[in-house]
Amino acid sequence: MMPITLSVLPAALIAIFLWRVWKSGSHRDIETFADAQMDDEQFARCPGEFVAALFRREDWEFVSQLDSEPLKALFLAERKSLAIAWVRATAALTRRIMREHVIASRSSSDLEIGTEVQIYSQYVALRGACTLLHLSIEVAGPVRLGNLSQRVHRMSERLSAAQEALAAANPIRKLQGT
Amino acid sequence: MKAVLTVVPVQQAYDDLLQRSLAKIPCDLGRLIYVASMRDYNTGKYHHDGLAASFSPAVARAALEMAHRDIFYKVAGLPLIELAKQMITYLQSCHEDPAEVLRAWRRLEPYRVAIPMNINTTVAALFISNVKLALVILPRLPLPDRSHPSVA
Repeated sequence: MMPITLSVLPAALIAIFLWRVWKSGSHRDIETFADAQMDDEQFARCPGEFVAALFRREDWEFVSQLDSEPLKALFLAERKSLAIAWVRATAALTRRIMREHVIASRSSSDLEIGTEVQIYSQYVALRGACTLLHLSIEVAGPVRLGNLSQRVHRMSERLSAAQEALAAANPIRKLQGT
Repeated sequence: MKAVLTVVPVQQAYDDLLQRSLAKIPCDLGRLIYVASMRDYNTGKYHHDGLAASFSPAVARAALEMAHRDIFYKVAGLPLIELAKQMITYLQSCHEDPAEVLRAWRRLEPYRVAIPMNINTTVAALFISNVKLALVILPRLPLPDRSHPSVA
């Protein structure tokens, strides 16, 4: 009896989470700017100070002081919408960077296993962090996730920088090889 | 060398704009609206007669574009409470009925044209979102005079 309960509980939690994601995606009555289709890369490559502003706790504290439930709901809906759009765009940009890297690696004659492993582990960690942040926004809202969002932002910048450095080094390596 | 020759007059024009025109405006939100109003809706190009006469139309345009971007980033990064305070200052400085201005801002959303071109999309979205929130917050804040903008 006990093992059945233990397996049903995670399944129920996953079902509740998926239902919440679907429900939040199907709500179109609150018009938010982030609902509009936007270029992923433009959305993802946001300066760190503005990522911090998206998740800023002080704004929530200020809104809470005004003691208006509709205002609180509007604030949370706006911030959640923007935060999720940013996380999704960051995840999409990460996938694109990795795709480009794989294509470049296939044509490279002098692959360094250590560098490849490092980039791949950065990619896996970043995708995991994006998923965790997305789940956390859905469950807890964006106002308590300043640290995690900054971590995701830094990881994304590191991966972009590593890929750009490799792309810049490739022509030189090719020249040296000839 | 060529780059230095072009950058220096733009910086001079930028400083001139800050000192002569923008310093007279009491808040960054007001400065943002002012600089955005210098931009042609159809072409996206900036025009400022005084600046163009002192420097050149191209230099004036570049200086205005630079100022627009700088001020926009400042305003977009403001905490909500600061944005709301700047909105009060702006309402008090624009010599119109604050309730009328707020109503127009809510309905027509003119602040959308205050976004510079080629700006980061997240920052632009954050700005729009914050202004929308500030417009809801404003009637709930204590204002210094009687021209308290009531909820529409």
